[in-house]
Amino acid sequence: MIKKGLFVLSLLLVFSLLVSACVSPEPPKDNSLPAQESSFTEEVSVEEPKPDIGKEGFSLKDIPAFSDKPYVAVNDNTPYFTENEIVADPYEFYSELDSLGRCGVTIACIGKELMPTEDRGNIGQVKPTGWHTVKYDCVDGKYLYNRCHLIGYQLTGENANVNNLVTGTRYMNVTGMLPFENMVADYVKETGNHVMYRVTPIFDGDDLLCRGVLMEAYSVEDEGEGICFNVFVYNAQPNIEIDYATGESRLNESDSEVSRTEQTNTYVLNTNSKKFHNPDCSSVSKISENNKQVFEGTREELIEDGYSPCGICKP
Amino acid sequence: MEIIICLDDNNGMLFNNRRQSRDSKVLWDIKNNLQNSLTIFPFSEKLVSSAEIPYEIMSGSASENTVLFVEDRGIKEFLPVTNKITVYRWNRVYPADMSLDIVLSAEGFQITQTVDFEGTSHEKITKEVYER
Repeated sequence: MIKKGLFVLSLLLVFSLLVSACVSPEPPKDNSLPAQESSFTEEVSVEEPKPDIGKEGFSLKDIPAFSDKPYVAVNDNTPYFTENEIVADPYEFYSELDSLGRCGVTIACIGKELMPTEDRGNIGQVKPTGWHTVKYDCVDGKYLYNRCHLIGYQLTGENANVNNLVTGTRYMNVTGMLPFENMVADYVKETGNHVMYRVTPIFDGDDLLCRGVLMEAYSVEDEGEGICFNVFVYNAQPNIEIDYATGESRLNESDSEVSRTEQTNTYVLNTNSKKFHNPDCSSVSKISENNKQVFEGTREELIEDGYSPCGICKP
Repeated sequence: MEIIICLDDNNGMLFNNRRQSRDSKVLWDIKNNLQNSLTIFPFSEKLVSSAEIPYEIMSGSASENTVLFVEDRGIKEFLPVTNKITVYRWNRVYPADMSLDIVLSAEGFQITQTVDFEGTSHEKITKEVYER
């Protein structure tokens, strides 16, 4: 179907966002959408992305500090889509990375046409900005950070698209974002309708780790009756302190029972056989260049991605 | 009276005044097990009528034979006249800002039947029947 390579469509979307960039509408009183005007002040440009410019009506300063809830409603749960942004033809758009290598706004008209028919592939080779392979016992699955799809795999089937992956805490990924993705995916499957869906990583200044993601969704055919939300999901993890400038983290000093481990190594992958090897393994030279890939990370991470250790070098 | 509800893994029911999910196989099952008409609140009217389930809007008090489908409110107020609760579990986590307002076991309900089936948009839906 229509994939990210549709450059013309991308330009049209960029143009649309730019055209609608400078208008400040009255905030809607209900979940109906403003006509013609946009509350989007974010300029999305292929040449010069500016992903950290806030939206009219949205400011990181208005978001309460993270406490015990994974997300908070924004704009009374009314998304910022304008009428002319809402279409029923499926498409997807992912901003180019900015000068710091960070993701920008992603937007799609989700339909069955875009949904994957295969299991998710390996994404372990992607290292989004702020990435650290770090484990804490207090985190579900140990790993603090996930490669977090902005538009979830179950919605558009994007695997290792670097423009769609940010460094996100396990808590943001699973507890925060996934329930919204589930709701949209199941609605689309059940009704055959389409859902306008936009996920914007929100960075503060030159931070490498986003403070959270703004998730907006609106069901097209029934005009928001089935799906309508606008939420900010925190990129946070209970009991962990995070330096958003770098992605460095540490255990909250009040919780001394949890230990931290970080074991990063270099491995050589055979993407065909799904084996991983030590770099000096005799089998490495026999791997076709097309199937060979260098990976920096942990053993557990590779196993989680479906790889198994070589029986010769036993990495 | 019997109450029918749909819940996610966290006993959630609604988010932003919208049902968390829907599945035509659940509606079919409700319709298939109905003796008379289904009693509903206005919130559910469009959904139920789309499945051609005979229904009436809740008004006044319920009778012993009432089957009440509840989506947009708690069920605690109906417990004094309720002896059976049917729960359809989505086996998924969705966002929720309104959840079930009781703990079934604490209200004396015991599970008497569990059936799993595949929905049209859900891999596995679990139907649980509680009675007291």
